[in-house]
Amino acid sequence: MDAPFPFGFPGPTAFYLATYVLTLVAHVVFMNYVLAGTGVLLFRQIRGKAGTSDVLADLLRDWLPFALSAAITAGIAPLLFIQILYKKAFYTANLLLFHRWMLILPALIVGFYLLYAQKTAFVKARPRLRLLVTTGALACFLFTALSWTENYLLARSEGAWASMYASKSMIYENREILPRMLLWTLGALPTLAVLLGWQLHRRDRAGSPVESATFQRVARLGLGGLVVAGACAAGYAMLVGPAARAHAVGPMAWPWFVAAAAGVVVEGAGFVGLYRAQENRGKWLGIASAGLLFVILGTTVVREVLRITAVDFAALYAEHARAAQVSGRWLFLGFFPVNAVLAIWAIRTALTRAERPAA
Amino acid sequence: MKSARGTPYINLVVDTSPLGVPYYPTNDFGPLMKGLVIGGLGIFHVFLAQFAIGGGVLMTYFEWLSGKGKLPSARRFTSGYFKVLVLVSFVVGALTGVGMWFTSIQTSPRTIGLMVDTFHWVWATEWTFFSLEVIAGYCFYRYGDRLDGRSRLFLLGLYTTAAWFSLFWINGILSWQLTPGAWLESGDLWAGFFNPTFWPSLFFRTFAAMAIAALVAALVISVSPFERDEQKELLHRAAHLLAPMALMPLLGAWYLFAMPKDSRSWVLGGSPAMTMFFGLGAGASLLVGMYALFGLLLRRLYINSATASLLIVLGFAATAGGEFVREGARKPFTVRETLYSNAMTPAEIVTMRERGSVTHDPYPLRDAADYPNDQVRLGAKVYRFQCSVCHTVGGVNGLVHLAGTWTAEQTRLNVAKLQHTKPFMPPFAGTPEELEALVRFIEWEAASRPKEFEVTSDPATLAQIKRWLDEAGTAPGYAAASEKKR
Ligand code: HEM
Repeated sequence: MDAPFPFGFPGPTAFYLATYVLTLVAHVVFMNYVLAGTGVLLFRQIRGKAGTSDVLADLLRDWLPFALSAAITAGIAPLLFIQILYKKAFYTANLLLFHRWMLILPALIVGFYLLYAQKTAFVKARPRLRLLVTTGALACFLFTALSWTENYLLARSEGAWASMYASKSMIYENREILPRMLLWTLGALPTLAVLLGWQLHRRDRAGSPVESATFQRVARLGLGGLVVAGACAAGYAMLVGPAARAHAVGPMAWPWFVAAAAGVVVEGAGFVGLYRAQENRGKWLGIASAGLLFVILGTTVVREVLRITAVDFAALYAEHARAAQVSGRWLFLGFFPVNAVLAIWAIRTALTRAERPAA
Repeated sequence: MKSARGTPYINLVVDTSPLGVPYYPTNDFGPLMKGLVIGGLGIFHVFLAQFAIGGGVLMTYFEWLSGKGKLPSARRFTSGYFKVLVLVSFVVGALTGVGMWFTSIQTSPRTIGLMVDTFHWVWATEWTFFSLEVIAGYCFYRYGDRLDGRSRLFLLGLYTTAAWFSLFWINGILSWQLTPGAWLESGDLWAGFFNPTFWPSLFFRTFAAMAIAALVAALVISVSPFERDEQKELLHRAAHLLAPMALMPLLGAWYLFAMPKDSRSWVLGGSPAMTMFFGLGAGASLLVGMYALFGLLLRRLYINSATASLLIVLGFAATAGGEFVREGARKPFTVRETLYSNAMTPAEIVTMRERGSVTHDPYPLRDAADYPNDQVRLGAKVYRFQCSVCHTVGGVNGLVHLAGTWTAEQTRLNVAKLQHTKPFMPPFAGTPEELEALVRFIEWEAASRPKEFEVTSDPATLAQIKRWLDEAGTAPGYAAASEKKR
């Protein structure tokens, strides 16, 4: 385990780790849009004046339900692979959190409908109700994020399992939970900024001009997000102790740590460029997106390394090897590109063939 | 019992515990049986998922009719119907799907673990289809009203094909649980996937999906602002999707005959509960089928929203019956001949008879101080590990009710020969001491948990239990029964 991730593991383990991380990255992108997007929507609704139009709020209201659907769909793939990588730990944490864990589902259903309710004329016309609806949705998503965080930390801590079971508690108490949650929530802001930036850019290019001030607002959101999330990450690093800090920059994680740090710089440069740009915004968004990719990939790998080094990971190799003997991999590798092409074709058809709505 | 040499998962070594058995914390669902929880959610999910698939078929058919100029109101209907589908099925359907996964973990982590281990690439493939379904569906939802007929048909066709393939893949995994077929011999994935109940189950579910979609369409049509003639025409066309129901009895029979003999016998009278659910499913389907045939297809009757709602309720009842039968018929296994309902392998039962089932269970009892002595505590642990997946103490299928009138001797005998007491139960998997402790635990519960409770340790009793256990053997009950017949 002295080589950079995912090298240094037996082949099957490295393969499942890499697949897991890549699929989790997709989940993180959409989950960030939902988490930060609902927060930003609430903020704008609190700040906004009745009757004035707000491009960002409209955009968020329009796209949040889809983003949630995408976050859930993208979450299913890592959910599959985590069961191969850490089966017993993952199941045990689920079981210990019991009803608390299962509550994620009604929370997401309620959150989903609240997002749809945002789009109705009835809610749109009632500012107070609108605030209540958005607050409800945000609470549902924060609860979901909290539950995943708790589950992740509990699954890593085998020593806590028996006593938690005996105590009947469905809440895992660990001082890392809230700071970690904060890190996830604030860290979602730059991702949201990049995605919003692209949405606005597309709208702009499609003939519905978007004001510079709106792009600047998005760039500020991204930059501000990077700063607060960075500060939060530093605070979290202090909290986790020297051993975890050493692993985060140890042999397995350091290239990824560096990639994430470099990504922050590139992303920041992209946001600064976007803030200043009067044209060519696509270029700056491209730069910010490249940075974002490195940040998410790098931090996701570092997150995984911290788990690998916290559990007896070598004991799981045999299971991974057994899983790898099962056939079907080619089925997946065959259908994945075919269905990806079909999905792109569907999106292209929708975007290029749809008549423009009347202004 | 057959062996399964080829598959790497028959030795389910997932843990470093001395027995190689993974111990999980077991939750108490109160008076509810765990099976009821997963069954309840399962019905809901299956109904919605089938609606999503059948809805796709219906809309593609309508879009095609519209393109041919045969059904002018079809486009308007499709747009409204798709909104219902997205709001109900995309949201609740998708999340109850994740819910099924989470509930399966709650009821039997080892079973879902085995399923994931064996079929993860099939599941991953299914995920690519599910993603395609969501993407094509959203494209239609957002842009459908502004698209030309060909593009609409393309998106709907893609959505439907992807949705149906989701069913295709999942159907292979679920039917494998009941009839793993040649997988047991060879460990070959495809032998397990295309197992004996794969095809009847796939066709049955496809036709059920079409029927559910037609019933929901009837409701949507009846409440939509169409002219009466338009409504009648739409209804008649939607009813075409009910026509394949005529084949359901045949498919049901095929499914029944592809099932293991013992499972079939539970359904056809051997187990009152399962027979009742089978009757519910068959009866409700028959009623819907008759109405469809005579009312909608032959006499072209108009259908109002109340009747449409009633038909949907019947459709739901049919799904409920079918799902309970599917879940129940697997007993005493969750994966036939591989993993018992209480998540033990046949080989582990042999070992546990010698070395005990809970000796290495690291999870303490909750409220351990409430029990009067160590023997009852041991019994409570044995109950938790071996029985609680299908029984409660005093609620649904409660041990106190089932065994409350038996003498101690009867209880010992019936537990020692568990798989012969009822062949849909697994063999008892512990030592005579564990069995005696379980009997004492049941008696203590039946006696309303007194503070003081005598500890039994008569060597003659333990020797008798051992004899009964040996007589019972460790093969499943149905195997012994068919052996006896021979
Ligand atoms: C709006 C809804 C959701 C939010 C806000 C959310 C949030 C999160 C967060 C914050 C984490 C990281 C936890 C940590 O590292 O401490 C996470 C991880 C994860 N999420 Fe989500 N999530 C959502 C929905 C889902 C759903 C529905 C699924 C499954 C279908 C899912 C699958 C996963 C998986 C597999 C992980 C990785 C867990 C691990 O590595 O232990 N998420 N999610």
